[in-house]
Amino acid sequence: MAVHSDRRRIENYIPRLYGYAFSLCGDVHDAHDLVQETALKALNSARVPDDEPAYRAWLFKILRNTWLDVVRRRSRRLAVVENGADYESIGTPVWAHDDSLISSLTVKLCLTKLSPAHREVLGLVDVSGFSYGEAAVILDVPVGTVTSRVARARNAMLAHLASGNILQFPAERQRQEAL
Amino acid sequence: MTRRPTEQDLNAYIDGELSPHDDARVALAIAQDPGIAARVAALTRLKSMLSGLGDEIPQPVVLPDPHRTFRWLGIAASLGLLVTVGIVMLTVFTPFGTGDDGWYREALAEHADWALNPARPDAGEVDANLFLASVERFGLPVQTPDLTSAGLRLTYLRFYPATETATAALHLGYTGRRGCKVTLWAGAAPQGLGIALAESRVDNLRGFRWRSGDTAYALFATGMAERRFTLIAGKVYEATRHRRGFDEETRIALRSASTSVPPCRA
Repeated sequence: MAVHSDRRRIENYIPRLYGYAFSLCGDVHDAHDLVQETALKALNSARVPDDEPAYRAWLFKILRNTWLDVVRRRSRRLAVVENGADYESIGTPVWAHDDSLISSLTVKLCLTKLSPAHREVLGLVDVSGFSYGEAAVILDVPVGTVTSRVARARNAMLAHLASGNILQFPAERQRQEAL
Repeated sequence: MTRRPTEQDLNAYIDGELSPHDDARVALAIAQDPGIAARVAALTRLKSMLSGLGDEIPQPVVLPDPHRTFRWLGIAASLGLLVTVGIVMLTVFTPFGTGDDGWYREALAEHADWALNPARPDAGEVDANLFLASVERFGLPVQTPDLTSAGLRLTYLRFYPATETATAALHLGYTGRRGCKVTLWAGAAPQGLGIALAESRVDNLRGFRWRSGDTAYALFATGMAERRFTLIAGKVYEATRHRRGFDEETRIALRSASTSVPPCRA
């Protein structure tokens, strides 16, 4: 009975766990595996918080630690230290195009271009719906750090979305050259 | 109003993290400054799009001791949707049209070049800016269906500007876990292209094409089971016809298909 109860508790958080996992990995399959492993670890844990906010933070911490283990295994270093650049002032807009162009697809692509620390904080606050205080507990950093990271991360995403690039049409060009 | 809100203030404002006093201060600034209002609107839109990421799990997460009820419900739902899609496909399939199909041959050639050439770039080359550029400059559809719901990963994105002989086009390349490749091609529709889903097979490469509004679409797959490709084609066709992304019902069907058919042969 307890197992079923624990399963139901976890199931309630699967979409948010997946969203957070995707923001960390940037890959749908890796995110799926990460959620799967997190759920198994949580179900096998002897100590489960009763309080729902504490349970939620505990669950996401498991996922985060699991991801860090994966990163270590892959011998990659997760750069959690922010660079010291100041925020761009409001008087210098980096957001130049219609916000209706922010589609789900482009947002997903831009997310993968952020630094790990930026992806992670957006994964917690925007994707998983945590408050700054809750995210600070999971990340083990002061609330002020979360506040600044959120602003920088969104600024970086909007900057990615605002820049543009165009490629050539190689097959057509080759055909024209052949004529 | 003592000072202009900072970026952190605006972000904390949309996250509901400000004190009542600061919240009122930012709200006043938004009301007085269109630039700040636009910035807050963009931040809010971004937050809204990110919040939906968790709803797009490509396949169900299986926990130990699964509920049989859920499993059977999933199977029943999948079968029901497959039957529905089958009926839809039978009613909308038409013989391959005549008319100008140069764009389709071009799309086919680009798919073959990408799918069969291991030297072509993978995920690292995908750039959202190309997608945005195509939307902004040539009016291509923003709501292009996202096939990650079908257990595929977007690994290739290329935008082709218009030339004297070809219209602008967008090439979205998706890769399956075992290597199958799917191309979704979108561009300006040529005259004579019908709105019905039309199937063709060229050099053993199966493809679909159709028109929605002023946009022509083509879909190709390499190494994918025919039944799964048929399902994906039907769903993409429906999504483009209604100018929307995939709904939850569609995502469930696509996820189920990704696990219930033979794996990719690529």
